[in-house]
Amino acid sequence: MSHRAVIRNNTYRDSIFLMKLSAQAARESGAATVSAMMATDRNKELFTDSGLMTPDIASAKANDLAIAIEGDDAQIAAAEAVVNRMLDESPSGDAADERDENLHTVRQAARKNGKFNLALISVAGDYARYEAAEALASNMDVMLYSDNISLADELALKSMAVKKGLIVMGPDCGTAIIDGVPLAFANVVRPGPVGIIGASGTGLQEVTCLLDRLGVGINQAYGIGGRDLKDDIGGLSCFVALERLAKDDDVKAIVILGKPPGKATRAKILERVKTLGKPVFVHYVGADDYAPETAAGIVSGLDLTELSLAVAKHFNKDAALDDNASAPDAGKRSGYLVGIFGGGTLAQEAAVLCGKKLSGPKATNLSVPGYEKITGKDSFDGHVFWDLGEDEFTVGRPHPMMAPDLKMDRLVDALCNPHVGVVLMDMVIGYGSHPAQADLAIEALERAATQSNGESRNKLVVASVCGTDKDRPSRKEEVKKLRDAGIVVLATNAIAASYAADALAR
Amino acid sequence: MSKENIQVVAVGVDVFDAALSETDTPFVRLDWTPPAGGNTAMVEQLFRLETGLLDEDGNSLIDTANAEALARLRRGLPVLKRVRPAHEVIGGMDKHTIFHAGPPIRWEDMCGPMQGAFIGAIKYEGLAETDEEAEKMMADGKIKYSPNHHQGAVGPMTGMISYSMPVFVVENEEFGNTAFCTINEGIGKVMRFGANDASVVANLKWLETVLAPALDAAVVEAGGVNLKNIMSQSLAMGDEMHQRNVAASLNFHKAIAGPFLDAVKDSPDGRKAVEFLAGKNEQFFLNLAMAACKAVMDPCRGIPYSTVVTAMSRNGVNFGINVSGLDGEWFQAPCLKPQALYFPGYTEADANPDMGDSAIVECYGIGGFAMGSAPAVVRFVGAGSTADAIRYTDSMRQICVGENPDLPIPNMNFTGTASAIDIRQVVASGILPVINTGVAHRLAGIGQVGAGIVTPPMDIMEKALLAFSKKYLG
Repeated sequence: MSHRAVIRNNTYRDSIFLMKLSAQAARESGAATVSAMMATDRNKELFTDSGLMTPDIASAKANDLAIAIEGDDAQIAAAEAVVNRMLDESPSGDAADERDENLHTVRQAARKNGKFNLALISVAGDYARYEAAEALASNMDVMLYSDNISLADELALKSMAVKKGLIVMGPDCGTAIIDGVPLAFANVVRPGPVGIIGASGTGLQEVTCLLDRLGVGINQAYGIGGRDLKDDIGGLSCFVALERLAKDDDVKAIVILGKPPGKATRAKILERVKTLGKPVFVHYVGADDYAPETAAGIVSGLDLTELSLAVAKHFNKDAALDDNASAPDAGKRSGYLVGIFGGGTLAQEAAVLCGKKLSGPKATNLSVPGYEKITGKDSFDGHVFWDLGEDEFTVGRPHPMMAPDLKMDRLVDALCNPHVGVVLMDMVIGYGSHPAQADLAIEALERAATQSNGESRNKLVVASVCGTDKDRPSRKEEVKKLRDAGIVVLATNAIAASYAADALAR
Repeated sequence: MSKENIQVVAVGVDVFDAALSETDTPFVRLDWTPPAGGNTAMVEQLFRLETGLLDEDGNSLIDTANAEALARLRRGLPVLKRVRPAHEVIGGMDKHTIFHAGPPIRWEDMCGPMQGAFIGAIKYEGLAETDEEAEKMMADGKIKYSPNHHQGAVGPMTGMISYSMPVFVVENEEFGNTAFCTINEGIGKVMRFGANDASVVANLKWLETVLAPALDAAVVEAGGVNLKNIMSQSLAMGDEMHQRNVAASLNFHKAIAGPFLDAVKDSPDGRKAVEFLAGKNEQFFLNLAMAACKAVMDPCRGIPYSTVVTAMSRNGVNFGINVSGLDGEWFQAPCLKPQALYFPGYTEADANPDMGDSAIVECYGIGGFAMGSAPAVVRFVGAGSTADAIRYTDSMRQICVGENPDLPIPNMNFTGTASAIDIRQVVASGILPVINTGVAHRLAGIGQVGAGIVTPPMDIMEKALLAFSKKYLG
C-alpha cells in the first residue's frame, strides 16, 4: 500500500462535489482511500487524524485543493486519472440529458457527444455548405444531400475534409450505406465484401441491390456527388473513400461508378488502382471505351447490370439473377417509346442502351449523345426519355422518388398518346422512397384506360424495380402487384430498357 | 471509421430518420434554424472563415486560437494585492485625468448620468467649486478623458476613475498583468449613477481616507486575496456576481476579517467600515469581480485569429466590444434598453440606455451567463422562472468556446459556466450574450431605477465579424 498526495494550487471546489469526486475516484480505481478536501486548517486536522497527512498537504494553503490517495501504484494512477478528469472536464453530457436540452447546432451536438461522426445534411444549399463546414470542423464525415452548392464551395469543403482525413459525400448525394446504415435513398442489403464509390445516387442503389440479389454483400457504399470526378474537384472524395476501402481488410473488391471522369482524374484513378492490391471494377455511365482501364487490370461493365454481374462472378462464378427468365414475348410493337424515370442514372442508362437500338427522332431532358435536348415544357414527336428528378422538376417540390405524382401524370399522358407504343419506367423502392409506388402506378394505368376509352391497355408497359426483398414494401410484393396489373417487370433497368427497345426495333 | 459504427447528426428533413431508427443507429435531429437568421451574406462570411483559415491538418486556425484564449482564461489567477490611489498604480495620470466606462465618447455626446459623474469627479478632485465651472472645464478641453479599458481598468455604470480615487489592484498571478477597479460606493446617491452633490463627494472622500487605507493594510497582511476561489465558491452559494453579490461580499470579508479588524479597531469609524463591507452593501464584491474578470480577460487579448470577445462595455450611449484577434478596435452601436423590472414609481421612460464596464464579468462566464446558479436573482432581473434562468445559462454554451470547470454550477450537475464568447457562434446562432444589469435613471444623480437583462446589439457582432474576415481573409 502506498500513499500519494496531489495538490492543485488555487483551485476551489465545493465540499459536496469533492465528496462525490472522492467516492467516484475510489470506486473507479479500486484505491483503498481517496480523500479530496480544500487544504484549510480544519481539513488538515482531518487529514492528520486519518493518517493521510503528507508534507505536501501540510504546506498547502487554504486556497489549494488537496487529494490524498491510498492504494497500490496502479490504483493510485487510476484514481489520479479520475480526479484529473473530474476536475478538468465539465460534466455537461449528463446534465444536458436530464434537462432535455434541445440541440440547435452541429457544434453543440459535437460538444455534447464527441462520438457523433457523421452529419447528414439536407437543408437548403446556402446554409448546407456552412453546416457541412461546421461538421468537418467538429471532425464528422458529411453526407450532403443538399444541392445548389457552387463548385468553388464544394472544392473548399472537400479540401478541408481531405486535410482532416474526412469525407464529404455530395453535394447532391442521394445515397450511401455506411457501416450497414442506409442513408437517404438506400436499400436494405446484406453485409459483405464489396466497397462501392458512387458519383450517382440511383446507380449506387441499382448496383447495391443487384449485388444483394446476386448473393454478394456490401461493406460500404460511399456517395461522392456527381461532380467529384470532374477535374475541377479531382476526385477528392473518391480518393478518401478509395484509401479507406484499401485499408479495410474486410473489403475484398472495390467498385467505382459515375459519369465519365475528367481526363486528369481518370488518369489519377488508374495510377492509384495499379498499386491498390484489390480488384477494382468500374462503370462510367455512357462510356464505351474502357481500354485504359482494361490495360490497368480494371474490370469494366458496359451497364450497371453487366458491372454487377462481373463483381458477383468474382466471388461466385455461378452467380445469376433470379427472375431473368420470365420475360414474355412482347410481339412486334409500333410507335414511339417514352421512358419515365425518377432515377437520373437509370434514365441515362436506359436512354444510352435504347439509343443504340431505336431508329427515328429521339429526345431527352438529359444530355445523351444522339438525343436532342429538350425541357420538361417541350412536346416532342419521337422517342422521349424523361428524368423527372432533374432540377427543372424538383424546384419547390420533393424528388419524384418521394412524391411520384408528377411521374404518374406523365405516365398517364404517355399511355393516352396515340403515337406511343411502349412505355418504359423505373421504380426505386427502399428508405426515402414513397412506400406505395406500385399502387400509384396501377391507379395511373386505370386513369389512362378511362381517359383513352381502353386504348391504353394495348400498350406495352415495361418496368424494373430497384430494391431488395428486405425493403418495405419488398421488391417481391411490388413486382407482383405490377405484373398482376399487366406491366412487364424485368430483372434490372438495363434488361428492361433493352427489352422495350427490342419490341420496337424488331 | 469503418470499424466504428456511425453516430449521426441529422440536419434537415426527417424523412431519412426511419433508416436510422430501424438500424438502431444513434442519431440526433437538430432543432435547426437557418444560421445567422437566414442572412446569406453573413453565412457566406461564416463559411469562408470556417473553410479558409486552416492549418496543414485541416484544423481551424480560429478554433486553435480560441482554444488558446479559453486556456488563458481558465489559467488566469486574479489575486487582490493592494488598494491604492489610482494615480499611484495607473500610469500617466495627473490631476486632470479622468477615465470613464464604455468605449470612447466625446463630452458633448455623453448621456446625463455620465456628464453628471464627470462634474462630480472634477469637484471631488477639487478642480472646480461649482457644476458650471466643471462643465466649462470639460467643454474647454481642460480634462483628459478616455475609457477605463485602455488603462487595464474597469468601473461600474459611469465608471469614473480620477486621480485620488482608491482602486483595487488585482494581479493575474499567472500572467503578471494587473487590473484596477474603484471601490463600490454603496447604495443611495452615488457617482456611478451620475450623482454629484456634496454628500456624494463626502462619501468618496471617506472611501479615500478611511476605508481604503484600512482595506489596503488588511489585504497586505492577509497576503492577498484569491478572488478566483471566492467567485467559484460564491457561485455555489447562489451569487452570479453581477446583480447578486451577497455571498461573495461576505466571503471576501471572511478572507480578511481578522486583519481588517486590526486595521480599523482603533478608528472612530471602525464599526462603519466593517458595516460598509459586510453589513450594508450587498454589491460590495461586484467591483472586485469586475477587476478580477478584467485581470483574467486582458491576457486573452491580441491572439491572432481569435474571435473571442475580450470586453463588452457601455458608455450610456454606445455598446462596444473588443475582439481578441482584432485588438485595439472597438465595434460599437447604440445601446439597447434593458428588459427590466422597475422600482415603484419608475418606468421604462425613466431608463437611461445601458451603461458600465461591468459586462466584463459576462466575458468571463459569470453574471448573466451563470443565472442558472442564482435562483434568488431570477425575479429581480426579470427572467421569469428558475427554469428560464437555467435556459439562459445553457443557451450561452452555444456561443462560447467552452466551459470553465472552475466555475461549476451545483444545481446543473456541476457543469461549468460557458466561457469565452465567440463572435462567429453569436452571429451564426443569433443568440446574443445575456448581461444582468442595473438600470440608471436617465437624469444625473437619481440613481438606480430598476434591473434586468440586456444584450449587445447584433450589429456590432456582425461588424466585428466582417472586420475579422477582412483582416484575415483579405
